[in-house]
Amino acid sequence: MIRPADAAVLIVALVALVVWGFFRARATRDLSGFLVAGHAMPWPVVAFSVMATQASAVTFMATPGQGYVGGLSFVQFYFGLPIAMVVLCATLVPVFQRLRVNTAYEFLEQRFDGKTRTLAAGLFLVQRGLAAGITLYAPALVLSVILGWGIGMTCALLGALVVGTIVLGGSKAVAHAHALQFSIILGTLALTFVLVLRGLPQGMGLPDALVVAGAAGRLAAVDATFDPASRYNLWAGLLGGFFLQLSYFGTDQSQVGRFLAGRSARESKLGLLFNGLVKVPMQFFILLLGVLVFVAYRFEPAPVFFNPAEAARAASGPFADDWRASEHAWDAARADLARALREETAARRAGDAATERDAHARALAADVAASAARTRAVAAIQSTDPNANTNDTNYIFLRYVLSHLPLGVVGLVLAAIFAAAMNSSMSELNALASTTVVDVVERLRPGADERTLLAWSRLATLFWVVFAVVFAQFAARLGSLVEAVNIMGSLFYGTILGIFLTALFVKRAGGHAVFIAALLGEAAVIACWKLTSFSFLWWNLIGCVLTVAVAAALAPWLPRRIPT
Amino acid sequence: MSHEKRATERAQAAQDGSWARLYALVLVALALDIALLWWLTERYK
Repeated sequence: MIRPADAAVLIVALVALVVWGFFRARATRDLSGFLVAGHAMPWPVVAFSVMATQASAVTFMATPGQGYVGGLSFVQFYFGLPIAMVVLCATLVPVFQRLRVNTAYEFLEQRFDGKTRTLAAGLFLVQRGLAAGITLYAPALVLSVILGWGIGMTCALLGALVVGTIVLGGSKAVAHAHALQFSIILGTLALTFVLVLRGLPQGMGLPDALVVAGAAGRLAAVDATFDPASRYNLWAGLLGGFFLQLSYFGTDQSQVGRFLAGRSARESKLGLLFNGLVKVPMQFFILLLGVLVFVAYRFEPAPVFFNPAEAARAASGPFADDWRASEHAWDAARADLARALREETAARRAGDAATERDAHARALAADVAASAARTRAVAAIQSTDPNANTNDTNYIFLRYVLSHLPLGVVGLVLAAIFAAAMNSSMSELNALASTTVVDVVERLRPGADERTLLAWSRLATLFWVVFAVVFAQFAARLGSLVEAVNIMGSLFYGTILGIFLTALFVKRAGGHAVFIAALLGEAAVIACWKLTSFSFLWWNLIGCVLTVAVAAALAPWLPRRIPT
Repeated sequence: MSHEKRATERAQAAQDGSWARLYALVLVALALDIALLWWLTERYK
């Protein structure tokens, strides 16, 4: 449980976030204001809103955890993003802003036909609607375990905060809330970075910490090996990552809605380019924070498993003896490791190479023993409950924060996590409502006036929140479902991007050609998923290239109908 | 071509040029990021 002072900081911060967003958007009475903030935001607000949308709570909690477990290699996932921002600014942004569309899919009807627009909007609604449940549920579950609150309570609290902001203030409130939320997140991360650095053993600075982390393989940031089955390497990041980020930012309404809020193409482009400039360094520092937590735990006792709920179940279950034995073995091995590392660091400073080599060998041996003990502990968890979640990455950073950071800062970090959870949920739900109203309701009721459509927008937001909360109740397996969200996105993004790129670059292709191409592209992606070992980043490239190529090949037979 | 049209075209070209410089800045920054991360990988291997 958290301390009263931290709870007070958390509550004050949450109330401030909602009041700020609502206060800045209290005049939102028109549909455009509700859907795309009236196309009136300056570029810094666009930039923060775009970045806040991508940085979900799971990302916030999992990225330092990822740094702890796998080191810096995850940073390669973002290498394609700056290139995608440049391509997006040079192609789609000017078109969207010139046509003054409210959703990305409106453009497809103007360029192709109604069925292509419906196909793209439908793929988005299915994919994003399901993902919205996980976006809400995943942080709610982690927070409920860490804070000792019920999952229903954290889920309902997050849902209420999100609904309160969107239904009352619409996209304008989302954009302003994002700016404040993301500032809190960045400020908190910077403060935590300094505190973690100061929490390292006496006399140990960043250079020593980097040596310890490097020896454990945590600073291997770039891997230039070309291997389609490997998830994170330079080529997957640059090529697969480029197509994933281009699809996400260019065709996913939760991002398109953010940059369409810019008051002109210039503001939208500056916001996106700022994101391209700072994303890789920002992710590097968040991962490095996890690496520093890893180093800090090398010198002090650490739990054998970071999810306290699963650990408690194993400790009181039928395999409690196995669990306790593995815990003892872990504690002993980690104590040896800390001793050896201290000696190694002291010997390196003194220039005593022989002692350094000996201590290094003992550290390696202790590390192997600790790994074996953890494997046994995980086996005990699995024996206790075969459905238990054995991935504890998301809990590492929070466990460190709760046990090491000073009073008040813990509340601030928790507020930042709630803020991150609200960020992505708000963008998703606002985008789902926009697409439902603009691409479905407006087409079914062509003569509806603005007031009716605004009422529909609020109703659609409520519908998608309820849908997300209901779907979240089925989300029992956090780790696998978070992975499933990424895989689900990559299943559709390539094809949707292919439709948009065909619209821009295959001038002769008509609606029938791109529709058939999209169906074939989607079938190929599903075949890749089911029948090959290609990692999910590559599916985006395959779906996109195939859709554009088939549409181009069919264009002479199924050409574009030029209106007379 | 009228004077006004030529002035508009010149302004457009200047604007395109400044965007191109901004795009190049973002891509050069990415190349620098990758180079620094590569150095870090090799330095602490």
